[in-house]
Amino acid sequence: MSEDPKNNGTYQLITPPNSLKARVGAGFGVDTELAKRADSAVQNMQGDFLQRVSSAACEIAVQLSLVEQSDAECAESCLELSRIAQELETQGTAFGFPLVSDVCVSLKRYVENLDAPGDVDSKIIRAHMDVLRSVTGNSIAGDGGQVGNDLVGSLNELVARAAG
Amino acid sequence: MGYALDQLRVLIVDPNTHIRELLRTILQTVGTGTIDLSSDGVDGFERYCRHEYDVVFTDSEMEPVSGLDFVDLIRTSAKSPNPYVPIVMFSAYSDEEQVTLARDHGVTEFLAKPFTVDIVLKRLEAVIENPRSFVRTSSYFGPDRRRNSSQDYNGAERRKSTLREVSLSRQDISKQQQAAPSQDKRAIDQLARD
Repeated sequence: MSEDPKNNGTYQLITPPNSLKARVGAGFGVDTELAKRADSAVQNMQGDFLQRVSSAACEIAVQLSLVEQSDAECAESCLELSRIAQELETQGTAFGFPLVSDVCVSLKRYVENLDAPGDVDSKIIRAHMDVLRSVTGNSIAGDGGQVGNDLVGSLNELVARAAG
Repeated sequence: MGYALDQLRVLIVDPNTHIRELLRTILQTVGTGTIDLSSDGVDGFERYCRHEYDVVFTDSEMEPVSGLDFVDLIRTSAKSPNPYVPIVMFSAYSDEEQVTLARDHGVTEFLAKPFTVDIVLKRLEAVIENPRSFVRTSSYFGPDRRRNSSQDYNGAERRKSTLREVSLSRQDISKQQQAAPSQDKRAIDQLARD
């Protein structure tokens, strides 16, 4: 068999062996009992995720106090805030908490688009942190419905206004 | 009776520890035999070259090698032990452009975040039950992108090119790989630098 099409108008349709089907045996689909167990395991992980959001809100509070204490700390704190937001943003969507992701996207956009780290407005950081605490305090999964949309809308507006 | 997944070896590539663990938990709980984890495309491809994987799950947003570059390595690198492996790509960005891009790089199935257990298992079921033929042209190598192509189609062939149909056995795949020139790590390193 040649694997060297000259590519002047030819194409190959290749049918590889379906070794995957042969390996999983004669059954069909994933065992429903096992799928239910996997569901429970993931739900437990969602609880762990809320704990991580809670820890992240504490880390944001630490950076916030550094920003408020000294202009010299602003650059490093902004980098750290961006890292925290990035980490939660990725996980939020995967663990079923898109509201967390949306809040983190907004926070990241704010700290990464500052003209100078010294321009950081602690009130805007605090507003983001408060929404994250509200998510953990009330176990708000999903996008948070209308209230979640309103909160994210307000944060985006704050960030847009700060950007001028 | 469900699948006996204990014979499967799966590779999960994602930079985020928690996402890797989430997928591993799902696949492990349903009985997948061996699950290897990797945090980036360079390490992921090195692992891929060392073992025989049945399915690969990869994130699209990775550094230094993106998820699409990782798929390119599996599909087209001479070092790839099996360019036909089913690849399931997951991404937080699931707009049409992203999905098309993934498809054009040879992704078998696309998974939008957030994913549920049900959706992950449906993708696994899809790659087991509906294996795709592969197409090789001058500009593309990967699963047949015409997902709904029908064997009963009686109309005119719209492709302007000539079709050559090839059926492969596992031995054919092994032979192709043995015949392929060896590709050292420099190619991956270069990709990582780019």
